[in-house]
Amino acid sequence: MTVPTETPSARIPMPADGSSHKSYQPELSAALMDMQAAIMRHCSLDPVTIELVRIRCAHVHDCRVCSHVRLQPARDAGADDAFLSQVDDYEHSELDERHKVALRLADAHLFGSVPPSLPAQVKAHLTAEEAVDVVLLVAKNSYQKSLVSLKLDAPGAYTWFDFDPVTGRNVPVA
Amino acid sequence: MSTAATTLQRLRPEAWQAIEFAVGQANDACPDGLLALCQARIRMLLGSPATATDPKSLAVADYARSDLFDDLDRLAVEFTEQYFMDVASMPDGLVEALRSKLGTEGLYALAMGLYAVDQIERLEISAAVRGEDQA
Repeated sequence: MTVPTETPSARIPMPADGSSHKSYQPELSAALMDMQAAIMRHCSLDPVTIELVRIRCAHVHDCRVCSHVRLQPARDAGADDAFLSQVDDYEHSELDERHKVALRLADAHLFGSVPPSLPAQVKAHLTAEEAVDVVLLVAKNSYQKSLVSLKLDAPGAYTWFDFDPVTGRNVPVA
Repeated sequence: MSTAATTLQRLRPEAWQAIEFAVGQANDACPDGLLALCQARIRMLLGSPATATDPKSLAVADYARSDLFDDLDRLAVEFTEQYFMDVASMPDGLVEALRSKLGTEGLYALAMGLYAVDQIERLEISAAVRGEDQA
């Protein structure tokens, strides 16, 4: 994996007290973090599907930090970088049909358009809960759009992460 | 309530409640009516039917020329369009012009608030894909 060496400057200054940019709007930031955590706490998807959808979002939004980090349980389940590289051209990839359907549903959310054939495909391959979790996962990961808009998406100190099963929040893995 | 909202509320009530709360917090953090105007533009770009009935929201496609809009409105809607269509190509000058009007905290509120309203509008489309047969 290539670690970016250039990180364009953020479009807003960081708070003078050294705190996170979230402190510019603490109540709103807390609500957005709670929203993302609530989505992950109840997510029924397996780690590999989560990682495929997350990487799809990262590439569509051109988010540097999201493209840089990796979900450890997905890697443990075999989703290495060669496997994940199939996301960009997934229709012509060797991904199984269930993963392709999940990515088509993710794209319906990302691009705001539902192909006529998609509902039947989703019904054939995903439970109602899984389908909702795919689009909620895209919604969760689309937080990166706001980071990208302000160039706050520079990669941080860690690469590997997992989701805390109790809080639903990202936690770095050593 | 829409099919998507009904589906989300039934299958993932905690997440749906958190999303609705975040949208409320986002509106509270932005100048009065500004985020709603941006949300109206997002609905229009998604091809969703208009829900707002105020004159500015109904005329938002003509924001660049209509006298209904002031400079802040125009910058915010332009930011919204770029956010919607290609966020990675957001022009530096547009962001800086908006920051000069809103200040850093205000710009941050708008950018983060757009996340909440953009997603709730997209969920109206995507969460309905598997929802019809369950409603």
